[in-house]
Amino acid sequence: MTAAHPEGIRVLVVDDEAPARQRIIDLLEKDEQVGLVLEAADGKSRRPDD
Amino acid sequence: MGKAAVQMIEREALDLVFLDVQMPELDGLQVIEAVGPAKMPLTVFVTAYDHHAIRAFEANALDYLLKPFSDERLEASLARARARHDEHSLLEFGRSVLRMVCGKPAAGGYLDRLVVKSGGTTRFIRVADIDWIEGAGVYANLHIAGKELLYRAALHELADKLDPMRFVRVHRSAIVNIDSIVELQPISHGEFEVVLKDGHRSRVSRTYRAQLEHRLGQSL
Repeated sequence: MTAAHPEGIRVLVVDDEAPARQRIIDLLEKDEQVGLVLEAADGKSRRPDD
Repeated sequence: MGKAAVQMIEREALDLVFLDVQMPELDGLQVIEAVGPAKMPLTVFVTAYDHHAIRAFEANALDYLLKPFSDERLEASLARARARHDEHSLLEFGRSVLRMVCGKPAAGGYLDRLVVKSGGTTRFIRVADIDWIEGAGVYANLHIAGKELLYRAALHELADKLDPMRFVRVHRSAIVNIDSIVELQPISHGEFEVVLKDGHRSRVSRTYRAQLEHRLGQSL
């Protein structure tokens, strides 16, 4: 486990099923404590305020 | 995708990963093996097959989402991750203070769950729930809320895997959870007994008294 990050929780979503991956990402992006969401599918990153 | 996940976990300072168990090239459990369990962020397994559950928990997963999952189930999983993340932040703070005081290197990767198999049943025991541990040869006898379970590991082997912020050795054959101590009672010749919340008493030998005082930050 990594040390706590001051910018919020940093999350990676790894799922080859796009709809399931998107549902998880949608929920994460609504969460104020989540600071960064990464997808393993194509390596691109998303932030809740993007 | 599994290989990409390994690279991102190693490159980014992640706190949490939602990890599909079945993936091409490298599956979720192989991702954990490749990264190393001690270096993995909090992990929530996601899969359509519930027969992966035992292996997932043996890999120390925080949670296990079975597809198709509801929004409520997904939110509950995230809530659990947030709570553990907050708890971890407090522990990290405690460890950093300990490192400053002791001058010791960071000590991470401690067990937070034990897999105990007996009589055809596999139990997942939260380490935080253990009151005390008694050495019993090649086994460690776990005492949890008045009940006992045998875990196959010698006491010294298990001790190395437990968080010293939570567990302290009080005797050659006993380790106690600091949160379970309710009293310290003097016996004689500088020796003490710790009284645990389950009523058990364990003598603190002189050898380990200094360690306990150091951990508590005060003399007994």
